[in-house]
Amino acid sequence: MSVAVLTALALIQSAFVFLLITTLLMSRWFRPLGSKLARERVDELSRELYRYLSGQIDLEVALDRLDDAKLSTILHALQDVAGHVKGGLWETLVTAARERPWFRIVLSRSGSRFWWRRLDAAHGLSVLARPSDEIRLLRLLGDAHAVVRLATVPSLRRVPSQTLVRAALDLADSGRTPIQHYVVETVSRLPGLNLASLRVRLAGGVDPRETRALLDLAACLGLPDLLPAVLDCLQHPVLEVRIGAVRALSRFPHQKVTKALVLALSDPEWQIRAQAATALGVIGARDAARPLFRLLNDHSWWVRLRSGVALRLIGEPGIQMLEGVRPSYDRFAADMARYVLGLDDGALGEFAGEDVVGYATSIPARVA
Amino acid sequence: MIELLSRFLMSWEGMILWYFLAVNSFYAFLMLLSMPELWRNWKMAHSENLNRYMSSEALPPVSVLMPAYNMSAGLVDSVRAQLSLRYPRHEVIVINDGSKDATMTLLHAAFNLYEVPPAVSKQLRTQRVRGYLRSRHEPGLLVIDKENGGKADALNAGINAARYPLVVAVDADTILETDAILRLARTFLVGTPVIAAGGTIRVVNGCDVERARVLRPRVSRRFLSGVQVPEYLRAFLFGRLGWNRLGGNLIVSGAFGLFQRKYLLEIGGYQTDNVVEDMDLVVRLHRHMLEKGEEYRVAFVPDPVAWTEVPSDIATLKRQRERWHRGLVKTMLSHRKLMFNPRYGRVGMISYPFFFFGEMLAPVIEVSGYFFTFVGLLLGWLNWQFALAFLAVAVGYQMMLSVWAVVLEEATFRVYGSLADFSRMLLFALLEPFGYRQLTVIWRVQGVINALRGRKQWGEMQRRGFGAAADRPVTTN
Repeated sequence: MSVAVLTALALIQSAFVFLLITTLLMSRWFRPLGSKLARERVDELSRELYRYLSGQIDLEVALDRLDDAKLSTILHALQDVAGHVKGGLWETLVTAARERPWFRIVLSRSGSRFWWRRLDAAHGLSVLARPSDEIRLLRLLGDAHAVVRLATVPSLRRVPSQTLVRAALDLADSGRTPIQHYVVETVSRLPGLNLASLRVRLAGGVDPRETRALLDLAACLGLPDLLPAVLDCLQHPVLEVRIGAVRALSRFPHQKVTKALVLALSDPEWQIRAQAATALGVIGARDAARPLFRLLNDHSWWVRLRSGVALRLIGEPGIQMLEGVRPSYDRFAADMARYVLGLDDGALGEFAGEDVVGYATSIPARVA
Repeated sequence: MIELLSRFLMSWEGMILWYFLAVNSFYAFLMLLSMPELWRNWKMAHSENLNRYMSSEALPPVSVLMPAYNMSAGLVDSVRAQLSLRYPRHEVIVINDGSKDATMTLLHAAFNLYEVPPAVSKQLRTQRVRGYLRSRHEPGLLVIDKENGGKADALNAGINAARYPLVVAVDADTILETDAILRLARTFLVGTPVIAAGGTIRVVNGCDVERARVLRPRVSRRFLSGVQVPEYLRAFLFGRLGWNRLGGNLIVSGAFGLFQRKYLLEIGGYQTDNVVEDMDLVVRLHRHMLEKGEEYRVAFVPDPVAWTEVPSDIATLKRQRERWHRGLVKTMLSHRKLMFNPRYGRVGMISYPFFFFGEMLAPVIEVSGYFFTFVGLLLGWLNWQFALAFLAVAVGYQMMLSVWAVVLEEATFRVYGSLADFSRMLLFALLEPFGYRQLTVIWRVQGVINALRGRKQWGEMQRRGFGAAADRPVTTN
């Protein structure tokens, strides 16, 4: 390589560095603290919306403020406020906002070929959607980009149609476990959910991931109509689903449930025994104190821990049993009893709220 | 003989030039790849409503692991800051790695600790644990008091005791932004299955800090800590983002990284005999997942930010860089099976060879370049115009990469608000290739030599703590 080539390279680099520095300085000049100002604008607009919602300014004034802002600012402010406010005044604002030119832009972005524009549409519709947007929402729920799909899920709270719920549950099927949790949690908060379709889906599910997600949904709802389907899942061939079923049962305080859970305490799988113990503790099943006590010397440390926690959760009889454990009975049981008795209420509550195996990522897609 | 030597020198210089062009072209390629990746991440971070995730139980619960050795300065504030992080469900596990100072006494006093029975499933071997302690008023806190075994050993003890499926390893002298874990964990909501994720590390020296929270990001006025600001930006904003795009990210910073506990247990946790345990861990995770044939991703997310104290004196910086490079050499040599091995996909065919040739050998080749240029000029075998032009290209290229990192920072996150801080950052980016770079190259060569000699020590690190404690040096391992 000759000196001339190297010199040319050095000159090109110098010119590029100079160009970069000029761009930086220009950017500082023209975009002074852009992001900070953008946040301030959002806060300002949110304040105006709150003033409208508390009756301090008229609807027209609030709409004018929205019209004057940039689309991204509008969407951020609306989402900020919508998270805290609902009711008639909000719906009046939504009706009027849907007539404004910027809302047409939001709608048109739902069909954009750029994901970030579709994301804007999803954010906009999550606070401004109406039943007439169902087709658009359906399309966004099936979007190729995961972020757009996730951003669309909260729209279900505004348009709780069965078609959309089905689409959301399909999304839960295809997603990873945290996505399933997110979708299921949103769906569980929907008013007027069609339980019949959920029961059928739960009973006939062949995809363990879907069944697990639906069990979470059933647990969130805790409706007695769903109990038989959840109990049936205790016989599912996939361990993860059985764990999910045991976990879901803790939300159904029923005599039948206690019996099923006590039976599960003698399951050959430690995860089931541990989860059943937790569920019995959460329910506060005093009748189960004796079988729980027997698990204090289980060969699995987790089962011992869970049964100890459950004994403390069910109250006086359980605590007395824990206090009565002596090393001469079983050293490990005595150790665990001492540990569980030393836990503070916060730690106990955390143990009780936990999933035994956390967020498993290895649930098979289909039952063999 | 002289003719032969002169020929050798010229051909070596030519080789170095081609090596330099190849490595830097790859960096330019990474730079190009980082642009859409950074924009995508920024756009997502910008348009996301984090409150929505906060009110959801969808995010997996997280155990924050804080190994601490002689970290009494600022540790209590750090623990309080971690306990008050914005995240739906998390616990903080402080692992006292046999500190000789008042670390345990301070923790006892601040959190009213009491010993609990050792009910921990010990799946990873560690040095003896003296006791597990819980706080009477912070239910989310667990303190593990153990005998000294190094950072990796302490982290392994933390992994054993962690109750949640995700663990975040955080250095006790690192400050997390309040929503850092929330932003990092959201990667688990989208995309392919993430087994590990790292965020951006920024330099805390010079910032306004109060109670382990960065109130105002600043660029240090001191050259040595200030010059590391663009250096860190370069490493994170385009180095790791570029690798994200290529799918072969080999580093998740030990100061702030999120891992699925399950996989850490599967690979046997951190290696205690490697002085850069973070890189070794990620390489082993890659190997493990590729050998299992499972779909996975090691992600770098630029918007979760952790602030770390960087060395502000030459001796400490030297020890740090020497250790980093020594660890890199050890990791590279112990995983040589990956080299151009198609079984390991992009990691074997791209990442590993690049880290081997472009990172591990780079300082040796660079120093030999300086040496032979000097000798060549001295003996009159080398044309001084050529040497000058070569130097101009090398320095210009370094400058370009650093300034480009500043451009990326300015175009996206723009953390440093004031014009003075921005100017200092830009100035340091321009000055970095003059002297600082050469010093780090020499220390890295020492790292290579020490690695080949089998040296294993960490070396003493002078820490000054944050804010008010800044003038009180503290020694850590």
